[in-house]
Amino acid sequence: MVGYLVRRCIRLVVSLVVVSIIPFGLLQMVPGSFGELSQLASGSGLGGTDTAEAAAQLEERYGEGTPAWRQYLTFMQGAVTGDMGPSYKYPQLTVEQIIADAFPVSLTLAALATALTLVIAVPIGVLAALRKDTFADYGSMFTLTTIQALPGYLFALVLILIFAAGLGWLPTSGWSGPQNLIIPVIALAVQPTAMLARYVRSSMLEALREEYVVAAYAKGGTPGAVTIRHALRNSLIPVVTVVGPIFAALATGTVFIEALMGIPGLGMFFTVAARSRDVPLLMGTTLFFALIIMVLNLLVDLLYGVLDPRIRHERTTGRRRRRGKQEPEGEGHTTPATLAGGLEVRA
Amino acid sequence: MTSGHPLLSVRDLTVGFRGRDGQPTPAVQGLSLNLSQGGSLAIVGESGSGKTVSMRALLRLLPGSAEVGGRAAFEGHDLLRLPADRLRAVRGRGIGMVFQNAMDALNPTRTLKSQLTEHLRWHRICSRSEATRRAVAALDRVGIPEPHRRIRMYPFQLSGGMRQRAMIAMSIVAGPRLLIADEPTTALDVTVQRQVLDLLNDLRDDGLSLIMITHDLGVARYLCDDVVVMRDGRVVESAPMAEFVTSASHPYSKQLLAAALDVDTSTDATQQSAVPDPEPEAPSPLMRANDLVKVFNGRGGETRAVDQVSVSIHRGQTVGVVGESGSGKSTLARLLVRLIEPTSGTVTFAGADLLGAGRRELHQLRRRVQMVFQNPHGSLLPHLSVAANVMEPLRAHRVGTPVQRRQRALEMLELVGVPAQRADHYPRQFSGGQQQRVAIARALALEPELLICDEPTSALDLSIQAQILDLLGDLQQRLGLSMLFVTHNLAVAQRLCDRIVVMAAGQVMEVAPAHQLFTSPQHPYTRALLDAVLPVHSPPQRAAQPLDPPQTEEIRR
Repeated sequence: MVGYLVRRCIRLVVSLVVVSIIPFGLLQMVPGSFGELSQLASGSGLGGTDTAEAAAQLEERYGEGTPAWRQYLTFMQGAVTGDMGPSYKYPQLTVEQIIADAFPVSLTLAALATALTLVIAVPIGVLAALRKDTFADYGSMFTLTTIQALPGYLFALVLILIFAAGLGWLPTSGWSGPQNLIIPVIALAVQPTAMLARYVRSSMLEALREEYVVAAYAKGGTPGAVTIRHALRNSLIPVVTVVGPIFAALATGTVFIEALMGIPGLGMFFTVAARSRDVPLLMGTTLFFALIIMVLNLLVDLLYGVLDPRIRHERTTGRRRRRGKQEPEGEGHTTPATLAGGLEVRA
Repeated sequence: MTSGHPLLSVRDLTVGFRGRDGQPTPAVQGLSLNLSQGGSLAIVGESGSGKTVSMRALLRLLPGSAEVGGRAAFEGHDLLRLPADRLRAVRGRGIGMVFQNAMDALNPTRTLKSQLTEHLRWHRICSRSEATRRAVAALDRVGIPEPHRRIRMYPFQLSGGMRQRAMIAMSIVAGPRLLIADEPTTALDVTVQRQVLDLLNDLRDDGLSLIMITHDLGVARYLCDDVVVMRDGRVVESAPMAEFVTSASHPYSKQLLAAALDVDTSTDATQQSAVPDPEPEAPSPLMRANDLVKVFNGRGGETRAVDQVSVSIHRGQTVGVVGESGSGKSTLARLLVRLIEPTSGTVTFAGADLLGAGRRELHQLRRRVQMVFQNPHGSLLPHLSVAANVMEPLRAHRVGTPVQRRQRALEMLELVGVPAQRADHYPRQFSGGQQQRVAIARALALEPELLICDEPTSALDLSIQAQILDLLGDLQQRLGLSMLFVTHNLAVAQRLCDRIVVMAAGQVMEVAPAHQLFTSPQHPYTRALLDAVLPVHSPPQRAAQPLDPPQTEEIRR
């Protein structure tokens, strides 16, 4: 198990390096730099902060004269040592500070939205599967399909119109307390809920058709016991793989909602960085997003092992097999040696 | 209970499945049977005859689209009309069920302990710790060594035979009076099958009544006192077993019995083959393989699937390759046509080096060696009509004009008994047996000298199997073909082959002329294989030579 984790972590680092090269390379290829864009936007140098000191600092670190590979190595060195330097756009803040401030906001939204998704989607999916081909099944699936086709920010707008602008129960935007969470969390959860419920339903239907479910009924199980002990758990194994990416997408992709509701999350800074060619901030957030997604995938895989003993088993024996101590995989036939009454045919 | 009051009495059981249009399609029509206390009954039939459906209908295990009618009294209570909670009390506790494939019927994510004890708790039979004790005892009863340790394992950690035993343990742990076993040994090798059947026999001695669903008359005869033959959802014949095998009255029963091949080990069976067996050193066999080795490098390390195997096939001869699953027989067949490259060894065909042949040369040689696979459904191209399927090798080898190819395809189809009117139908419109005929026609279209058949009848029903074997035997005589015939079925090999190679664990155990192999097997493994075969037409010898306990049938970890 430890070996498995080590292997996964090495792979994670390699992936992160590859991921870091791609946006950096793309940024080298697109025309326009932070300085040019800022001048176009404001008519002055460096986004309004045209102190000579700041300019010189940037020049020293990422100057025009410095070749791209050196810029990259400088950045990566900074990323590894935890010093990615100041943002172009917000020169008074380092990239680390921005991420440290903004990520908890995004994480809170994502965690709450994921929790809400699970709480709603799993029961709906299970019930739809149990009531297959009834009105409850058709009705819930039709509604969910419709919802899934609509973007989340549209829901945010509708919710703002009704509960904030209309009834005045909730604030329209900002980030000052729990009341600011309600609309964005609901809006974020809507689409994943629709997707997950459909996924749970089909996974549950598949599990209900399994022969071991019939066998459990044949042993005298009540529908409740059979559903929970045999069908539900096995049907949730594939669902876990979907929940990981849903959470990752929510934690990194809340761009629209954050912008719409003025929430200072990571998505907002990512958009700003991309628009203004803020290389350090863009690289920093991209790498951070990649790290989150990869760590989440790793967690999902670990969880998979907890839920499915076959996978856990394969992992722990994987190493032993590679070391060649594994017995050849037989199809369970009696070997000739036994049948020949102990006659040595092949050890 | 007296013999006058049967344990199970089924009257006019009907099962239909409602389709999308709401119209029920009948699956079982008017099944009636009686099983006395301690009795054993075989329900025999080919695929689709309704045997599984009818038994599941008894315990109301069918999906909601099923409509079940009739009466099924178990210990005096009609199962079809019992309230749900009383039916649940019968399920598992009164009637245990063993499913065909233990891999599917055991939950892969739960330990044996969980699955063997949960219904003891459901039925409130005993406490949790007592349940575990009983589960261990049940595993011990079915012959699983070290039950204390194994009970904590997951189904996938056990070998096929072990899993089936665990499944049986699960179905008997709650102490049912009746066990319904649905093809419990079909997925197992013959030697393992024999062990599982002996276990069921022992359970019968403990007083358990048994209903055995099977397509294998040998299995039915070995285990059961009475037989019910089903076909297309109807009972064709029901009789005591001893009477049935000697004097079945219904034509279909007779046909089934005729199709059931027994291995003939009597010494007077001197059915000398048409072609006398040439000396192994005889000059120029059509195909000769020397010291073939195939090593697969998988996650489990090296597997020597074929290990130092030498075979020669002479013109006009049929060589059988016999072995259990994992013996390397199919790998050998594929090596001989170079569908997979051997690790080492040589193969010559008509004097030419098959392994050293370049692309072009190999293409020419392949024209003369054709193959028939186990599953015609998988080996025919589904988007081409059967005529086009048969034309495919002609096209690949650029033989004739399209018109000539079609002509040839029609001739070939006629040769294997597929009428010309059906030549433009697609494979899915044919039954399994007819699909295999088409596959044979395709293999013969290029007029090969050697036909390699890999279990060509294993996926087919018994009566169809007999027809295909007849066809192959007939074609061989008419066309002077040489054949390599891979099979796990000794009776099939005996019927068709001149010489037989017995394989196990990638190695050749014994090579002998067919008549000699069956009358005086030399190798202990061959003898064990022969002992495990269950005859239909002669009285079964119950565990005449007890097979070794399955120590090597070890846990797969």
